Amino acid sequence: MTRLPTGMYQPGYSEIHGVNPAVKIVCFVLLALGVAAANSLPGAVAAVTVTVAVIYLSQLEIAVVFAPILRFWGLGALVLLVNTCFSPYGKAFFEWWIFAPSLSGLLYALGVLLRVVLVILLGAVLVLTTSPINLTYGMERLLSPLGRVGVPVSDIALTLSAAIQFIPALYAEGETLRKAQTARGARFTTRNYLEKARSLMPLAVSVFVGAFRRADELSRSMEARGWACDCADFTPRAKGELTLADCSALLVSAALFALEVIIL
Amino acid sequence: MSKVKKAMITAVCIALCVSFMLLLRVFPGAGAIYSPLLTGVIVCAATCGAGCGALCAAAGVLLSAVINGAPSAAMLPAVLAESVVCALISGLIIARVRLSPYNTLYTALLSGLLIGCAVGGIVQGLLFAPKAPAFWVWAGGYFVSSLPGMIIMLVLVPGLLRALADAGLVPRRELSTKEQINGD
Repeated sequence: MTRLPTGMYQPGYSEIHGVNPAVKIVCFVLLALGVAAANSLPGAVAAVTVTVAVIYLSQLEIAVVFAPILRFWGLGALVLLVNTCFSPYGKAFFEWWIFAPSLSGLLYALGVLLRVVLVILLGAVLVLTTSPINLTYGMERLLSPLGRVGVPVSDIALTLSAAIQFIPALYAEGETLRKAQTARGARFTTRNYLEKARSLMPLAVSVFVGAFRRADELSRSMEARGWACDCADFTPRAKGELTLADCSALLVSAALFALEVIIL
Repeated sequence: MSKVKKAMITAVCIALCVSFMLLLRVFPGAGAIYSPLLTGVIVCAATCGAGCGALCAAAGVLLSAVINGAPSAAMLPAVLAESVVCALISGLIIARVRLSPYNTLYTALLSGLLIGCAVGGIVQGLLFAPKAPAFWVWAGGYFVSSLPGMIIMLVLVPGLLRALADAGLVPRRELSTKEQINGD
């Protein structure tokens, strides 16, 4: 039987797991902006402290949280190298062709790398402590005020809910088709790009036509039952009151954001 | 096309962004070479319009990052910006420009992919090297690394749209071989 991926979500009962998904998304955005604005040493220390505290409170395994960083090492090394070699600041160690590595360039590169790593870690905590379906509900709730300015929020909510339901079915169907195409000699690993595209075409056509047929059947049956997208009360989900943990998370995130952007 | 059908096609395209990425990740470097996210996004923009395409791009990329871990968090802002811009531009050109069907499609594809890629490169540059001349290295690198994916998109997307039109699943835009035969 095909094993479907369940995403990166790690179930748990920590303080961070319990925070409302919409609040978690807002906190992530505030913290990420705060970290991105950390340009001084005190700012970097504050950003690192908050990130470490968030990881500690999430009670996740360190190896799981840092797994995205391990995948990032190649790109991270490139960030370090490019920023060091192309920095226009400070005295260069040596100059060769267009490369002029300098100490100030290295420090600048380390600063950029630290900010990127911290944002990745915060993002990892967000997706590890929130299931995809809850993240979708969170996004829906955050988008709901836009309904007052004419954004079709109920349509977006319907679309996102349907998309989540479609993923396992389409993956299972696609996996069967991919194996069938591979058995028929499709060469996905050839070095020739046109040949790659040609190999991909039968698989993509089968997957897309099958998926669109599902969409067509579902939309016909919904319309036959009198469904219209304009109904504003599509998702009668419990809104959920903000708890003390939600308010604390918002307060800390806003404080770090203000500290980094306004003070440091 | 009714609103419900547009919503369902967009939902399917979002799901395809995620599941196509899952299907192709068994092949090394598939994310960069095949651009599985862009395939669903462009097909959605071409069939349902720029707005639905942009929604598909944003939701598809975010869900893929959450479920598949690809694109990685470091690449997410650039890929997100590229996909949304590509969807908006392709969708708008297909809806507004009136050339022959394939000319419109290729104009939309080329413009969307090139401008989307440039925007993605700029975001990548701003993220990793906001001040130094290294900005242009990042922006240029992103653009060059996306070129193989663009070639594959130019071959794949017209074929996909034609197959969908032939199956009667999307409105015919004279791309259908059946319609050409009937017209003759």
